[in-house]
Amino acid sequence: MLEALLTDDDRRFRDEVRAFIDASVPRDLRERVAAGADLGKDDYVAWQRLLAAKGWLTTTWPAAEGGCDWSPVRHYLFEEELALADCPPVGLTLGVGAKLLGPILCEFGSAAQRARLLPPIRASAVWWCQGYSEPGAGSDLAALATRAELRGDEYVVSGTKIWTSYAHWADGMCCLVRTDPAARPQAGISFLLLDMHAPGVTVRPIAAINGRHFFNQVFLDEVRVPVALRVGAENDGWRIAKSLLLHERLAAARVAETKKRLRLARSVAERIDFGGRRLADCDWYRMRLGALEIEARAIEQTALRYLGQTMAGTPPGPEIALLKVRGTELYQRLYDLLCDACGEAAIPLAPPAADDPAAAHAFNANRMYARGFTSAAGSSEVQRGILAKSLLPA
Amino acid sequence: MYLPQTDEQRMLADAALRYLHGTPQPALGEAARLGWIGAAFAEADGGHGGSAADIAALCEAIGRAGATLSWFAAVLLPAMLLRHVADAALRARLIGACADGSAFAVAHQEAGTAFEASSACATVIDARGAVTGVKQRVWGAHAGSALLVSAAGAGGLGIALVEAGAPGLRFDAVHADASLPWARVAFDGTPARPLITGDAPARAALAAAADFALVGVLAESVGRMHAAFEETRAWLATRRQFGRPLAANQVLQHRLADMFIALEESRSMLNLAIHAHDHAAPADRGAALHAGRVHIANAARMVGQSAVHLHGAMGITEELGAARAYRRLEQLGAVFGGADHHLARYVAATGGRP
Ligand SMILES: Cc1cc2nc3c(=O)[nH]c(=O)nc-3n(C[C@H](O)[C@H](O)[C@H](O)COP(=O)(O)OP(=O)(O)OC[C@H]3O[C@@H](n4cnc5c(N)ncnc54)[C@H](O)[C@@H]3O)c2cc1C
Repeated sequence: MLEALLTDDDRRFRDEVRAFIDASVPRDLRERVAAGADLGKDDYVAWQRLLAAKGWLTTTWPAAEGGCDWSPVRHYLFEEELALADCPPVGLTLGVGAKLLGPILCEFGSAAQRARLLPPIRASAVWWCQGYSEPGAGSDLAALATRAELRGDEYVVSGTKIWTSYAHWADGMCCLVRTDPAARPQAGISFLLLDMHAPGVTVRPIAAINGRHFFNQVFLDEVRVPVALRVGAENDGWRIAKSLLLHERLAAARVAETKKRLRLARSVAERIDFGGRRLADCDWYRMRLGALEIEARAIEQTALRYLGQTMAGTPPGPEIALLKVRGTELYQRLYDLLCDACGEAAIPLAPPAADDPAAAHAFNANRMYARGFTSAAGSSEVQRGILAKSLLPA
Repeated sequence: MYLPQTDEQRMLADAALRYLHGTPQPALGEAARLGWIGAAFAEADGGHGGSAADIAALCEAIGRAGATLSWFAAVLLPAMLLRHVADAALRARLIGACADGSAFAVAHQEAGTAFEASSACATVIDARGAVTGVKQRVWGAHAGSALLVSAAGAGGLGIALVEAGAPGLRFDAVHADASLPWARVAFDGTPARPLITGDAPARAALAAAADFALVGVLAESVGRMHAAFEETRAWLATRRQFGRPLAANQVLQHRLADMFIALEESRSMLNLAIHAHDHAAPADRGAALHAGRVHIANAARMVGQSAVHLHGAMGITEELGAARAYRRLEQLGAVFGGADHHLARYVAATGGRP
């Protein structure tokens, strides 16, 4: 249990987070998040700046760089409070600068890169996207073919990135490129920071089945990137890209996001008529919801066990991969339940004029989006492969 | 169950599949010219079919082709209600109009529940034939649709005809998505012509319409599952990661095999539902239709979600047929009440005993 891991200081900290949310986060923003609305860039930037003003946008960075030096428990607590209070997410998709690039620069960046690039991220003055995947390189990321050739003090980058979330909002891209085609695939990759406004960058939107725009394909045609914007050594990009904070691996369990939706599945059922009875009074629904609640607890208790282990100085090994598998799969099933609860009202993807007390169209849109979670960031098969490899070493 | 298609059914399905690959959204007039609407009527009514087996053959082809036609709403519900009109001359005239491609829609559902013959009906029809009330979910209706409205009068529930553009008619397109649109329609002293009167005949006609349309929904689901399955099968063979096709991974082979199992069983349950619809006694017919609905909705979700997942990120894009198939399968799984709804009714119909 989380409570058992908390000190009095942690509890005071939790009160501070709650007070911050109450005092500073606009009601209407939280209501739109609760309703599953499709927020715009302005909403996310305004929210990130609110966090930045409090010093809480870049919590996972070292204190010397403007981070928080929190214990793992405190990170967990912080994220849970924000999510449960319907604050917008700042994760690896919508907070690439703060959550992905920032920690990478803190660990692998030069002093000059840190001095130049970290302050605008801390202030949410720039938007970064993640340019890893390519048409031929998905699960097999090391197959990436975007080529970067060194000419003088610039790399010339050509190729294409795909599934680049929010590239259409981005000022910069964390771009994995091939710098040594002769080396073993993982050994010839470098990590470049590419200006999305540079000549040669074209962003093509990709329509998603939920009617929302997040995906893009990015074409790179002889885009010039100064050598000074390579992070780490040439051909050392794979190690950098694979470094993921323990915090993010725990977050992959989506514990708070799941709790919130369980709560939603309860409250929505109060308002839905199922053949003349309140859905909340139907046994089948209560049992289905109860069963998912138990599964959610199993994931939460596992995440907390790993958190406790980490606090005790014996962090989990490869087994932590199970959190992403179970967390995303449960999250998807919860959306199935939410949509089933709403029945025909969950058929549309856009808000109907009326007749939708539960905002079911947003459940439908988010359900479709969530289908991607078992593919993204290491698919369920890839994660199970990691587990199997550690259990059955060759 | 083994239920071979007749030559006529097979020809209709093959021709429709070919046609829809070129024209995925033909207008009703065009569908009428092709003889598709006539499949919903028996020869005695001037049609060339009229059984669940006939319309299932067509609806499966619609699903296979990935066409965005809400056939169940635009054709099946109104056709079955019109078949129950007692006045022979009136029936012949209306069926003729329907088979020629005139737009009809059935206005029955109120207050958010699924389409049920037994639902309470707050819409009323007075002695002069004026209808007043609100229908929340009128599938496939647009401003040019003639409406077959359920309304309570002195003799209980009845079905009446309201012409498009009649006075006191208010039409709100609530969900205008081309694939499965519905409208909310309000009547305020709107003149109507009674078609089916007396509570029992009207309820029986609505129940028959719902069953007929549900078979169409199940058949379309099976067609869509088939298409999503085939697309995924081809994808596993062509997509390469880690230097080999995805199909080389046993876990993906088994996932595809599970999709196939779900598709095969769904086809059998569709046949059972078709046969029960056309031949079984009412009690067995209900159980078979509920069972078909439950099994096919669950299988469709499994097949659709697997097709999406096995395509990786591409699985959630509009460009991919299998992705659109998944979205459509979820929609088809929700109309007329989803699996949970029909499971409850199945258990009630069978007393919990198989
Ligand atoms: C919502 C979302 C957001 C994303 N955002 C970004 C982004 O911002 N930037 C970015 O670079 N990328 C992004 N991606 C892409 C993501 O990284 C890829 O989807 C992921 O790497 C999988 O690659 P793929 O989609 O090409 O699928 P593939 O690798 O082609 O996989 C297809 C299917 O095969 C399975 N599979 C593959 N290999 C094996 C194997 N060896 N054994 C068993 N099964 C296997 C997979 O699990 C999957 O089910 C995003 C994806 C999603 C869904």
